[in-house]
Amino acid sequence: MAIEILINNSLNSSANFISWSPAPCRIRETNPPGGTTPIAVTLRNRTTTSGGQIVFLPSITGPEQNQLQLNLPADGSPVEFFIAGMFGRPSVANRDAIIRVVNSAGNTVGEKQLMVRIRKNANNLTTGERDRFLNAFATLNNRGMGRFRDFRNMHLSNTEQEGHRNVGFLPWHRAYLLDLERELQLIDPSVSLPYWKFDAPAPRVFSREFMGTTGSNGRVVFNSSNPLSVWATDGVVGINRSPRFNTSTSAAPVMTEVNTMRLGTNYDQFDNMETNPHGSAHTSFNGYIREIGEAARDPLFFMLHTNADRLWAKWQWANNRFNSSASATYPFSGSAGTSGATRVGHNLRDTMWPWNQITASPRPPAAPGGNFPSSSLVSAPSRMPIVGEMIDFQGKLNSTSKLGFDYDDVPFEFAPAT
Amino acid sequence: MINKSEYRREYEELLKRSDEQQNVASRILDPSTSVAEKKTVVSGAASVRATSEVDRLLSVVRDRKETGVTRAMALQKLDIEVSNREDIINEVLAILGDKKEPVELRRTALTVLQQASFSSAIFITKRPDYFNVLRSIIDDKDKQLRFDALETLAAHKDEYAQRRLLDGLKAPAKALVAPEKAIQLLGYDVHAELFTTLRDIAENSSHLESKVEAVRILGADPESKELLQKMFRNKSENKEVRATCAVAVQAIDPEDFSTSAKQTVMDEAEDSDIRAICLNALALDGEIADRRKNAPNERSAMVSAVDTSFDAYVQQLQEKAASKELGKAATQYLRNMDLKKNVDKN
Repeated sequence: MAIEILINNSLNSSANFISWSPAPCRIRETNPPGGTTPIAVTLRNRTTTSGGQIVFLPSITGPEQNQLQLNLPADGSPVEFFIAGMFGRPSVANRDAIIRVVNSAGNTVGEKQLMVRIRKNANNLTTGERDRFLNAFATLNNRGMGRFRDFRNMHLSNTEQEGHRNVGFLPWHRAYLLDLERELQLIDPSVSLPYWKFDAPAPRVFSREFMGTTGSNGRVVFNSSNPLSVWATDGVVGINRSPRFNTSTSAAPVMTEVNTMRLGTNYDQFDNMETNPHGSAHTSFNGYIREIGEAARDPLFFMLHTNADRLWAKWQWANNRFNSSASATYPFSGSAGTSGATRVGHNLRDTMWPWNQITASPRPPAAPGGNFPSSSLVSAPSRMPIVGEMIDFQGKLNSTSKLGFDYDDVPFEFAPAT
Repeated sequence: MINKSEYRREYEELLKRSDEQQNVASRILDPSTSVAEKKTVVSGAASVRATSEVDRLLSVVRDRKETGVTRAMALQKLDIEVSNREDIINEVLAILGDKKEPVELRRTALTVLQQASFSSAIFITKRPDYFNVLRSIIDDKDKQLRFDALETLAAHKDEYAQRRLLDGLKAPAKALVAPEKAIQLLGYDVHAELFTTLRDIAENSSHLESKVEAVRILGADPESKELLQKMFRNKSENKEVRATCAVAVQAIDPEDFSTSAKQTVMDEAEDSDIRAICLNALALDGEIADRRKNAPNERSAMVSAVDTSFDAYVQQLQEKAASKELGKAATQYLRNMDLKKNVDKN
């Protein structure tokens, strides 16, 4: 027997990544015996003790199960099934999640390696996860001259209105982070953005091996082998950052996660998190990260924002806020210029700068980075995404809306009927 | 496998148990709780939103009979209100600029205004007022307030702040902050006039911290390349200065840097951290990696020869490095140059 399994229905190895959301797959016998008797096989994890773990679903609506029995047509035509990462058991390295295919006699007839790729708490990363992330990030920066420069130029003083001080703050930054993450994954596909959980002590994050420590001079210090030790932006070497709290023992002086969730069950209440904890996390330091126009020069900024995005994802999960047509999910359902609309770029149907490449006022005068990058895993968002495309990020209501990322503490659950 | 229903139930219980929001004002005003305890509780507590609680805390902020610490804590918990209400922004601006107000309260005023700069649509219209107040306090006797004000102004390329910082560098008696801090802040707006001053500091200053800050910024000045190269090669120069010079030279001229960095890595009498930094910089030079992947046969014979011997050297280094950091940098270099597979095969 020869078994072929396509993850995300793709032959491309760059598609061998899943998150908590169901991913469409196909399996077939590539050397079909002929006849009409189907071949019975069982799919399961090769081991349950280590590596990323997978759950199997007969259809996109579930149920999730630890193994799946399928009958493969004897003519070699494919059978569709779905898999998802087992919540709580993400991968720690590429290809450490392995589907084993067993025939009715109990013999292994095929295997498929993949990764349950999940955004994780930066303080809990393995050394390998941390180092791969740092290496990809510093490579993208390429001494301040690489593709990272676009991300720095997207977050300047003269672009701040696109993603700040209005309801589009969270969707714009979700797109911004996803764009960056896809670029990092072109360098190293095993990388996902870690988050700095700013309401808890994170001594491993603020170490010389990771985001660095700071002396009284306000410069961040790294080990000489840390890829960030050769960081430069705008031609200036290094990073300015001084914490105003004890990074070894304390959380940043920000509202806790629980209190952030309690801001309210409607988006226009929850959106106040832009001030606290988001704004307070920024102002818990002196240095680049304290100013909108300079913050993107510090890699910590991206981990701060990944946490802000995680909080939004968790709030969405806790309150079932995935239906973008509901005002509790997002308050401005129209587009700029229509009755009741807010500033352009912040309404549900507005395209987002810079991916829309619009440079006419009131948009900023330049649109760095081009259109939104595509993905081997998912079809969303579009090349010129609208705000609304950032809402159903797990594809709960529409599987084609899935953006291809998940957080270690925000599960995928099938949406209850509303 | 985590049971998702159970996970949800537990999280909902956690949210229900939290009742801090209702008690923030009471906790701040509780005379039986120590200031340290109050600070801990208040730090992670919810911002106050209910009208009655907001009014109560506002009256605490305004009450000059209360201690500065208590008033500061009350203001801290009004941060979302500050972002959403122009009248409160005006009050907080007045507090920040009033040198008779307690310093703890003024520091918090500056912080909540800075928070609002990230999130408040109203704040945009108040920004000129904010900058005016910041300019008025850059001479404040409180060091933290002075620095925070200067940092925000410098990040916004404020000419008055820049002039005062430069004046302080030239005449220490006029200095608002330590010289290395002044240089750091001037680095938010790199330009030719600044480079002249920084080159002078890099070459002639005996103050180590100032030198480091100067060479950091000179990475943006192509005309400083020779000076930076010279300082990088000077083994009697301070290690941090040399390491910073190395990265600065790479930012200006990566080709030139590549040659001297390889010599440095192969110099076994050299400091191992300097060697690791150089190797790290070479490993992360995307242009070198891309060139090797895309056109491995198009390199000049000379570069090719140097690379071959260098790569062989790094392979040895990976196995027998003078330090853990150097060994790690060697591994990283080989991986990034796509040579790791060959190393494994061999």
